[in-house]
Amino acid sequence: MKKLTIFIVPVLTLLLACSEGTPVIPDEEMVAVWAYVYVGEALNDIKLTSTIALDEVSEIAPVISGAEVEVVTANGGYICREDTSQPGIYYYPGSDLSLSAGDTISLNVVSEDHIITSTTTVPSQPVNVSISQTSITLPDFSDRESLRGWRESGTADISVSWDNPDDDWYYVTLNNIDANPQEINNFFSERMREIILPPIQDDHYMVRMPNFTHTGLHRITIYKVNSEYVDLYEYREQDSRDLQEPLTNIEGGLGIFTAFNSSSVTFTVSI
Amino acid sequence: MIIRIRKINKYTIITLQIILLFMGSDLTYAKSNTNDINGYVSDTQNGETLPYANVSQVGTNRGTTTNSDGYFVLTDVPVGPCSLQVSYMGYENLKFGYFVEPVGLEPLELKLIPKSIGGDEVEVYAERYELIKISQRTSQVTLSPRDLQILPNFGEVDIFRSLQLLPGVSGISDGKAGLYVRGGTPDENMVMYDGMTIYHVDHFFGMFSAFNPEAVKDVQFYKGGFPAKYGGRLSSVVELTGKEGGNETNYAVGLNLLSANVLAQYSFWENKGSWLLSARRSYNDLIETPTYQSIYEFATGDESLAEAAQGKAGGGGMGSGAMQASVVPSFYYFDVNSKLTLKPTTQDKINFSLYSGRDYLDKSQEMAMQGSLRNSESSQFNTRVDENYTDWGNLGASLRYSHQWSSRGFTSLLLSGSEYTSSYSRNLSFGDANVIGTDSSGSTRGLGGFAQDESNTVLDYTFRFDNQWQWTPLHKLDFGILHSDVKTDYAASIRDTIEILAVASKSKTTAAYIQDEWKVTSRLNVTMGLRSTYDRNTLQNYFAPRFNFDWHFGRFLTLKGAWGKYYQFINSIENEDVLQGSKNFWLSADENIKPSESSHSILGFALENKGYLFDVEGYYKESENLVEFNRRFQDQADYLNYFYFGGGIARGIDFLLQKKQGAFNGWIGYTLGSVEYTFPNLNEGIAFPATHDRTHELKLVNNYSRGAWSLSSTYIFATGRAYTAPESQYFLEMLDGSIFSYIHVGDKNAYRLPDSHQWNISVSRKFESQGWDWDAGLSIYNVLNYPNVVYRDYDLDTNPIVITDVNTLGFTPTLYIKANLK
Repeated sequence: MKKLTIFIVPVLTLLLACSEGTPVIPDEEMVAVWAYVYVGEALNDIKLTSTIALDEVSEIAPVISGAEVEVVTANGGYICREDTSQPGIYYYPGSDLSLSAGDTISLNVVSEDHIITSTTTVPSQPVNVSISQTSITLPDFSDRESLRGWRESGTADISVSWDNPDDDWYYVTLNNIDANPQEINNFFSERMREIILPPIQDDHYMVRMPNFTHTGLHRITIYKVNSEYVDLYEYREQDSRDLQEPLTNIEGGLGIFTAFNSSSVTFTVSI
Repeated sequence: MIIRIRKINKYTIITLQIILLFMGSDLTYAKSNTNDINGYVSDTQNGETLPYANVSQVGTNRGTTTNSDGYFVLTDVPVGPCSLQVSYMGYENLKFGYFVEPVGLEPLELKLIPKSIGGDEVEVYAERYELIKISQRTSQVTLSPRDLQILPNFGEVDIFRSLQLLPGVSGISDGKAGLYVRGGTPDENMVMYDGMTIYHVDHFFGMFSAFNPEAVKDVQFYKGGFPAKYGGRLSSVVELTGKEGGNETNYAVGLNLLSANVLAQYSFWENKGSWLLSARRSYNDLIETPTYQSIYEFATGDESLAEAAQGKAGGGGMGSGAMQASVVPSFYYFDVNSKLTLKPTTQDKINFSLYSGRDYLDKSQEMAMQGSLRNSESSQFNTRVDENYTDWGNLGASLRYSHQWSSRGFTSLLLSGSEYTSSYSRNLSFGDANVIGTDSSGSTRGLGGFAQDESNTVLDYTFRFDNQWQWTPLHKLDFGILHSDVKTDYAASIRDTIEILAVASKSKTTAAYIQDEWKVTSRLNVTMGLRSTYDRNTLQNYFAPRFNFDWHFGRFLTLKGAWGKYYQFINSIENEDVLQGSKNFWLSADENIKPSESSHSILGFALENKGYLFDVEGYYKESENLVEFNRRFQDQADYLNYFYFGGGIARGIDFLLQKKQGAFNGWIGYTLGSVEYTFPNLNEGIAFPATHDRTHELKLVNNYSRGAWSLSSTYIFATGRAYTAPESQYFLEMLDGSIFSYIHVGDKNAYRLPDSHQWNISVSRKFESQGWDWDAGLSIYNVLNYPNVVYRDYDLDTNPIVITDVNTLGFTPTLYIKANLK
């Protein structure tokens, strides 16, 4: 009998103690949030998606519908609704949500078993935003002499500046808001009517000729950016060896919830 | 004037008395009715001295152990007749009568006869026979390598795998070198071979020890609570004493289906000099023997080991988006030991010892698979080529001089140097496709491919001055100093040109220690000690008190315990790699990476009679200033973007039930334990299980010997170890509308590999021929062919992704034969 224990005990232990460990492909699901709040604008940019499995070949994130989404400020809670035409995107339908610099905003999301929270602070408005000229007349691009002269005239670029004594982060957008813009025929490649630039740690921006695709009234908006967006932007490309993920300010989930405050100036482009 | 002379004389007398006590005449000690009995214990066949043999006076509590040179002294033995007993594991006990003269006793030369586990006399097997000896001292174990040969093996005794059969020592490797002792990592073990510190302690995932057991005479293993004479590590001490060659010329050769080894020893200068040389090399990278191949294929129905290693890895679909593969690596290793011993007088000995060992591991894979690169569907490929090479090794030498000043005083001087080097290279590329070009980093290696290189070097120079003084029969003092100079270099780069990290550090430490083994009463032994280490980098002294006791109640019960503080000035740092399995590299502590420290608290008891031992020890270890290297969270690092500092707690309880006697013997060991780390800037400061955390480990060791035959079985079960896994994919949209995809990695070490089962059996037989003693046997490793996963490799850059389980060897039979010249 003693000799048989050499063989019996290992077999019994093997049979009784099987454990396969955790799955090779984990089946954990998490909620990815990207939610941007703009002072002075409607709250309509909260998107909820779900993570997908490692072996999933699709590169489209499944949206999360039917979640309970609430934005909370010092003045109370604001229940958001899902946009029925764009599932997964939530907005606040009312007009009583008013935000000021320094306000703390919280985002609360409940979706099935997931409870997600996040907090951000409304940044201050950019200060002393000024523009070097409020109009610009473009040259005849087919006339090289005219083009050269225009470039050397000192009025070929528009400079926008603002105060930034603390090296904070800003990002700049350029929109054509004219009711009747005319397309400019030039030899530059087609550009978007709206340009959103990467965050910069500067106090000025030069709007250059290739940025203009249409004539008419343009608006340049300077947004003050919080650190959570800067962190996200800096690590937006994941190294496939390190798997370093972008930093997140979402508790219980992934992604970003941040607020922006802005100032705008306008100028006109004509030919 | 008169007073001054008296003072001078008094101090002079005291000084002279101290000198005489330690170095001088034995007459200093002897009382008129007592005398000291001293001498050497050695093997009667080959003349090898036997360290840590027990020598006692029968019927009294007077006893001692031999030192590393096999020397012992029993102090203040009453004049007249007495009975002495000498015992050493693997040898017949020696009991003899002796008359103690009042003066002029010559040192005794006590010869022990080795026990044979094979032979014609059946009665031999009724004797007590032990493979391991659990000391009455807390957490101390003795192994005699010559007796471990009956355990399942690959044709040669494996010291570290034998240690892995003990409770509290991790029994199944996980791709990292060394032993995991009571929750500690392998770098926390001080492994010394003839005084040299060895950094490369095993071959191929811990399958084979880096020490040829043919060259090792004795192994002392402290699982924790080790005394003040040892330091510089947090968890354990493994002290290996090499053979010296004895007083005879001998040759031995051994061959099995994986490796070959030779041993030669010569005696010269009228037995005052001896030289021993042993060498070992695996050869499965050169020759896959037809016998081995056919046995393997017959038993498993699979392709052979070598073919599997060539990259015809088993794979299987897991779904449309993933492919799972497995690979068993190809490898070879070698080690060489050489030891020259000179004994110009009976009081002096000089040893020069040399050690060299190296591993080479090839985990390359070439896999035919249809796929594309992630985020680039147009980049189709038909072949995935993964070139993956690792080599690492150790070269060391030591010069030791020892002198016996008197029957009670002993000194040893040691100089040693040890160099460890390792390199890792991986190159992933995709063939038969439109993927060659320039990627965003400018590399022309190929879209989706990558190259990674790491190298690590340790240079260790050490000087030791150790002394032993049997002060009184009740007090044995050990004291000494040690100076250590360590330099480390680590460099890592990707794509051949982008340097991730290059770190060089130096550490100079000087330590002094003193300890007293005190027989408080006939039933209570206490060892107290203090070790102090000065670190020139931090300019601090690190005081490490140590305490150990064993208290005997009646004939069978012993209560024991230990407590101590421990410091470590060089770390093997884990480089977390979620995709390829973490690797380690050595870096010495400096002003930026502080010395690690731990405290041990151990309490237990043992019930032991002639035939059985039941030993239980609970332990609690708290560690600080542990270091991890992690590239996933660079913005939160404590140092140089990659280094994180934290602490850990290891706790558990070890059980051992051993049948020591009879033809059938062995033991059952079980450990319930946990190891938890907390790093403030990792895992959001939440505690996580250590990579080597295993909740349950069960070990069964059974041996049966009859006549010339031995049958042995070992079984190890361990719950799966922890690992960090990529968990899912997600997408985020930037303000400009661009969308990026990411791999989300789960919480640190939140996942568990499958449990491990390993059942090994062996049968062996001894026989003789003219001039030679033979030992032959068959061993089967992993009888159940259980796929024990070492780590999980993820390749997420492709569609489908590839997940590879890297396993230890499956069903592996091996034959061995060994011949010793008589």
